[in-house]
Amino acid sequence: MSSKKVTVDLTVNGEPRSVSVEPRELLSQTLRERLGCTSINIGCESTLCGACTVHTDGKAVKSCTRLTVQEDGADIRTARTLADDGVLNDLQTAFSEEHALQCGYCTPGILMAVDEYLDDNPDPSREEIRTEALGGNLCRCTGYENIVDAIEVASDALED
Amino acid sequence: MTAEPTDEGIGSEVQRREDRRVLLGESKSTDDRQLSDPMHVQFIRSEKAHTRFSIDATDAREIDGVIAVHTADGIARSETPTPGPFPLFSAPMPDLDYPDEELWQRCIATEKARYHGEILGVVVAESRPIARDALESVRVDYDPLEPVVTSREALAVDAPAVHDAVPDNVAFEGGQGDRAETEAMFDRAAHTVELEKESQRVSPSPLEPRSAVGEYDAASGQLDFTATTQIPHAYRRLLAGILDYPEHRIDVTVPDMGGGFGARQHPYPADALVGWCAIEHEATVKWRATRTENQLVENDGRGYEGTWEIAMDETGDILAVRADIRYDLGAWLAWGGASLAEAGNLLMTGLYDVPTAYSHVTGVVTNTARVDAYRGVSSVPMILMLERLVSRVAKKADMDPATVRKRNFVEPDDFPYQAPGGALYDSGEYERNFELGLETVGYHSLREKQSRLRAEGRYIGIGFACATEVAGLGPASHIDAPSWGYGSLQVHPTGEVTVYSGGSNHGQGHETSLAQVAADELGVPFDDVRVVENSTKEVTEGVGTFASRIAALGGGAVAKSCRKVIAKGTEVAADEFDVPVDEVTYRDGTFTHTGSESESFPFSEMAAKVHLGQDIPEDIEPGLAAETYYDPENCTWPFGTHIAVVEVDPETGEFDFLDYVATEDCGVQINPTIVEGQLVGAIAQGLGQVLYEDVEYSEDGTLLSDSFRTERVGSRGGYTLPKAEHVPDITVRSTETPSPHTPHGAKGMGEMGTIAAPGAILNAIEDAIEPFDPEPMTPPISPEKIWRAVTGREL
Repeated sequence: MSSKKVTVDLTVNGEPRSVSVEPRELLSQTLRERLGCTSINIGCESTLCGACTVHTDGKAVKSCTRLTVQEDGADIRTARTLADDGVLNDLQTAFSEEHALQCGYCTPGILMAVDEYLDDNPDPSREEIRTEALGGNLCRCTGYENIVDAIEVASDALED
Repeated sequence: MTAEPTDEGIGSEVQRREDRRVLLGESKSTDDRQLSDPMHVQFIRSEKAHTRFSIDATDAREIDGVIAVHTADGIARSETPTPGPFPLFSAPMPDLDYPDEELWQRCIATEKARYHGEILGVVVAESRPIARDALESVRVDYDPLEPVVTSREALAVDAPAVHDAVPDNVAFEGGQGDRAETEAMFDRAAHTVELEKESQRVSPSPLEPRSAVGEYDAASGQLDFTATTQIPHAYRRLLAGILDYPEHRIDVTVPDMGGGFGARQHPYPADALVGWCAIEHEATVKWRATRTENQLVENDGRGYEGTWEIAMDETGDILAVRADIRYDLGAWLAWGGASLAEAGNLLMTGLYDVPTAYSHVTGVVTNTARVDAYRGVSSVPMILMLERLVSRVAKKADMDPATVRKRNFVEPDDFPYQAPGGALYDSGEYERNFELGLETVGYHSLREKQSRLRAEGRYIGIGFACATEVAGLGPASHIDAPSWGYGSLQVHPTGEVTVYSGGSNHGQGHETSLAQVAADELGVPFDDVRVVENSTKEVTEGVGTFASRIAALGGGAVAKSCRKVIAKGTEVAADEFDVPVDEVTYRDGTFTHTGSESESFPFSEMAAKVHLGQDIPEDIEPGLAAETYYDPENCTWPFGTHIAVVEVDPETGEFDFLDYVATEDCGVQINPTIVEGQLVGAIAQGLGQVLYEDVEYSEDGTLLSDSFRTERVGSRGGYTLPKAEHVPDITVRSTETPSPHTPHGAKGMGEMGTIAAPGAILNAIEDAIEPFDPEPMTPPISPEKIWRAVTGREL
């Protein structure tokens, strides 16, 4: 069943890492199970819930549907890179102030998806936040409203 | 350190302490545990709903890295005790003919499997991928039997039996209320309405799949679980019985957990088998479900079908409510079983003062996964149907649905109010709460707008649902099960406080809200209070988190422990001041000789003094700590009004929300931000139930909704959870009617949204299309169903 392993070089949260993986291994598996990146959560394993979202070379991707061998040379960042030496960034601060998380399982993935979205569209409407910024993520606890509020607050802060 | 009066006590919108670790990406779930060389288990699960089977694991056992493949036979032969079946939470309905252990869910199938996903065997391997590969090498030969997939099929004459013990597939049946009196009321009613409908099976679907780690230490005999459960202490009690293992040698820790919603208020066969494998292999054993596995076997909720009726007189007074329900239990009587049906029947008359009611429930076994608790449990179908009936009978009598509700509410002076289904409501001001909802949504102008728009060919609808909830289940004398809230308190010599709570915190914010309770009671700074929960190692006892119990019972236990500590401090202060105890006041963190402000003793100094134990009265022990098992007088009964406003396009059946107002009354709110978050989140789940979610089985009992999908599609398969674009902004308002019997006046409230939202939304859609005289609809409501209701045509 097992096949030949491939060596893949990654930069993970700023650290160079080299892993030897089977071609079938998912990026989410490599990051969680080999490299200890447990901020990545596995909710659906089918690209629907977005809990495993990370940045590869600055783009938000769902790591449960990327093969690690596709990412050779990639710069990968997880939610652990958002804060600056323990100081929450504007988006994280807004999530806390607006009570935008309950169980928090979806939160790191949402932060990574929205962080990239706001780069491209720094002043989204509520409608755009609902359909686009959060278009790839599921949350079962909050009913989304406070997440939408938090993203509005963060986008205002980013403008200032 | 001098304690300042806290402004972060009860009623304050304190930001949650839980958030920071999550936002930093540092929260830890069960599967995040980094273990040294654990064994990994995967389960061989039945691919057929009803089948005899045999297993050949020869090839799988030969795979490099496979440690063992266990089947029921092998487990029975082992010296490790065979894990037994799962007992029930309680056996209510005293008249019930209850089929005891024959229908208790067992850990592993022997010879016959009874639902798609039932465990047939266990693979143990050195890594998760090897275990997954080995599953594919296990040969299972099926000899399928005819399944019964729905409760209707199960009750048909000559239907195949799921269990030989109950050849008619009826696990239990029973009635609540006064049948004869209810019939008499229906006989003399001016208006009656009947709904023959279902409240479909839905899946709680926490975002984190279930997982468990079992760690067995052969030298000490200690068995540690790390697990996705809402009930750490009860999980320990139950697994001790199931594994025949001493309870005091088991510990359970629940790290951060990605939701529960009732689906994790009991352990599952997989948990027991993880424990069994840990003992058998004297090892650390790890398991995480796939999403498909989670959807296959984690319990569904609802599963109600039947007939609901209402009777009203010519003046608009509701006379009686009646229901005859088939409750699809799945293949085994799981933890909640009949007690969940009973809980819904308790409040079948909702917020209305109805003279009599009768409900009859038939609990039916089918070849499907278990149906058990899901946020709101059986109150959801009961309130959904009641609120549909009230709106429909109002229309039949040509009365405004708001008027009929106001006319029938239980009055504030009527509490405690004995409802005919069995509930004893503790307190309420239903009309005041309802009026706040009407005012917030602008009801009267909305009705005018509706009639104006109808003339233009546009269709808006306004839907109501008023609801209550069984919150903070108790007392033990009523429910035949431990139901107290546990809360203990350790005061450190510095005056800082550690609170120990017997629940599980998995999104509700207990680390924050229970600290607010203690800070408020003790008058100490919020930052001086830490809350410990989720652990049998750190917390002595507990019942767990379910039935909206922590604010009322957990918080109540913490409040009572605080008061015990204050009482002890008061005795010491009285001795110090050399005055009787009734001349000592405790306020804002200071013991004072009443009337003599100069004689005072701050809490922190008292803590140090009692900790040291010098110069304290002889009959007082050193140490400042307290423990409370708080068995309440009654459940708490929060209530609320939900009003949905929609516009429907009758040409296409598409609809939009124009407004959604929820007015909540859960007594004293510990943290209004958390209350609002719980309410809105639960409304989104109720919206999901009425508009999107549906557990679907094929005719042969194969689960089709075995993974998530995020768009409604015409074809079958997949489970649709609401996305951000599907949920409107919710306007939340509150009234406050304190519970008269909890120490701090708080009521539970976590389930009001799932209970009220389905009725409000469905009533709004049906109100919008009323001019087309549609047949009553069956959720989940899609544009296609609305179009069919409007046109009376099929696609």
